[in-house]
Amino acid sequence: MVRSDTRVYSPRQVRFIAGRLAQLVVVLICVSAFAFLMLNLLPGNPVYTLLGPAATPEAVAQLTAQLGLDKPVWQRYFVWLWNLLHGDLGSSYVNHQAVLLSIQQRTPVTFELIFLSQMVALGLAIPLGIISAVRPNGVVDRLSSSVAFGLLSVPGFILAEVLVYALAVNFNLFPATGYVHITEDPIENLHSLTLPALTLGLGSMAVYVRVLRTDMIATLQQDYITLAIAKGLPTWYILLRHAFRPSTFTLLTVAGLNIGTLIGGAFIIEYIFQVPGLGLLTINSIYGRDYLVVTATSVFVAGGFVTINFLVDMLYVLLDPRIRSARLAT
Amino acid sequence: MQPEPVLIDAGAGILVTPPADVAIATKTGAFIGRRLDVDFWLAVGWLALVILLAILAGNLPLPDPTAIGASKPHQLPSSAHFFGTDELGRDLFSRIIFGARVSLTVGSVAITFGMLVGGTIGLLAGYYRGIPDAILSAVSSVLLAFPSLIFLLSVVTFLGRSLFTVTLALGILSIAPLARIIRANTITYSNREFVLAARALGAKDARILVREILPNVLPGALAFSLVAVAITIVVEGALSFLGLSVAPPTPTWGGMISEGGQVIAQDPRVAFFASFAMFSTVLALNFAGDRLQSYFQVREGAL
Repeated sequence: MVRSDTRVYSPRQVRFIAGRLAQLVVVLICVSAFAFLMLNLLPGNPVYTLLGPAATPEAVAQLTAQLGLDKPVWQRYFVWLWNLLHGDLGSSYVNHQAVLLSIQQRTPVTFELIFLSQMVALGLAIPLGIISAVRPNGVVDRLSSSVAFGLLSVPGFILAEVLVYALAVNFNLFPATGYVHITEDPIENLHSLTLPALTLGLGSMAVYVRVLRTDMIATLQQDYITLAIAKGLPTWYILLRHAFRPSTFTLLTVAGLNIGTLIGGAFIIEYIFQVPGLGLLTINSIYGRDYLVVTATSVFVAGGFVTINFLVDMLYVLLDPRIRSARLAT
Repeated sequence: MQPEPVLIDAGAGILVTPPADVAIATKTGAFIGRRLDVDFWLAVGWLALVILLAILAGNLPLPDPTAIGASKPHQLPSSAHFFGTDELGRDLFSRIIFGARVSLTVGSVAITFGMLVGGTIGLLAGYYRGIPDAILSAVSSVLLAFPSLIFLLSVVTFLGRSLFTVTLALGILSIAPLARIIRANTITYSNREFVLAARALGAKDARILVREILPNVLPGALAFSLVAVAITIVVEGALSFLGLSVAPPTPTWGGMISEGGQVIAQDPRVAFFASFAMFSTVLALNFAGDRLQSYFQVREGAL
């Protein structure tokens, strides 16, 4: 244990982590520049949106100058970046709310939704993956493999409608849309998030089952498993204590990458169920041509994506000594 | 000829078989033991049927898919209307067939474009490595981090909702991931002995790329592009679900699913038929792509 602690701070590892961190910052700067340029170069002017069709040319010119939109794009980008570093993302052109505040309000909702969906996904995938690996081509394996493959072909918005029809319309178990904030009523909050979390979770579950099953099958062929069986240890103990942990590396990576994509991929689900997270904010802002908000959410979503990828890499490096040395060697 | 799985009765109720997807290397050929099964041809058959119906849609005796109020709304399936009619009295079967046109065109054209551009970039980056490769990796990690739905939604909102803009936007989005896969495959083949042999015989880079590497990379790329088409159809469906793909009155599957969702409590048929059309097509593409990938032994490479 002491040895592994000193390894964590070895110069090679520090350099590796620093390199990945620098990469992360560069990617984020590029993403923000790309988002800023893309949304600026495309036709559509927030000034006209703000003033409406009956605006006089003088009013348009005045507001353009007031918003700083008469300056060249690159200049505005650097002003925006400078302000961002000072924690100021500007205010929405449409409702004048500070963009940072909107994001702060919406982020916990999206994170809660993602957290719940992953609970559903892992809660189903782990037992199914283990049972499938114990008896490959058994009844559970075939059934869960087919269901997983089918689920991978069901777009989220279709799954959402199926669940709404089955559980909201037919049985009226859960509300089809609407969101109750957690501070208002924690039980109702969970109730209102059940269908969106289930929709996202079933999609993730399909991926996780396949990954865990493959790794688990490989682990169960290791000699130390045979030894554990020979020692007469109970099956459940071997599966959970000996085989499960070494089989989770790919699952962890895939789950991490998946959570990274879900920050941006929960958009449609949030829209369908009207969950006021980052996705709904982004979609509504695009409809309203509120491009400061869209730029900010793009950067935020991309930031979440690269940060989680970074964390997964770090976790991977720390968890598995074999990968740790292999990665550091390259 | 299926490889006989080695069963080890390890006792304690644990039966161990080697994973089915382990490559079976034989001296006589790489494809022994792998064969395309009936399920694969069923998937291909379904795709062929959908494509054929979509191509012939204009020549079939179908009711106008856009005629509002031509028939009574919410009719049940009958010989006049195979799937019945929707809330505006439009023929559902006809709308599904015409909707297939949008999905299939967007999916296949966007991925063809992505394969041509991304495939070429990936091939060159994977073969030459060095600076072009470093640039590709940097650019693609930025593009992959950028939320794709924001890109699509902004392009389509600002540039207009035509078949062309939607296809182009999806095609551009597919470049980075396709380039990455082709690059990874190119790297594995570039290090093989036959490439070394060709070089020793004095073959130029262009010849090695086109005659030695491309024929090896191509089968896997084609298999993967089926899955890519499926993904593109889903994304186009999401856009039209949000009302941001090809503008009405052109019927789209995503649009029909969204409309059907509004009336799902009164009449779930509208959403059902469109959902089924999209699901079965995506499933068939995924299935065929998956089978072809293991047939050609594609490794997607580290992402």
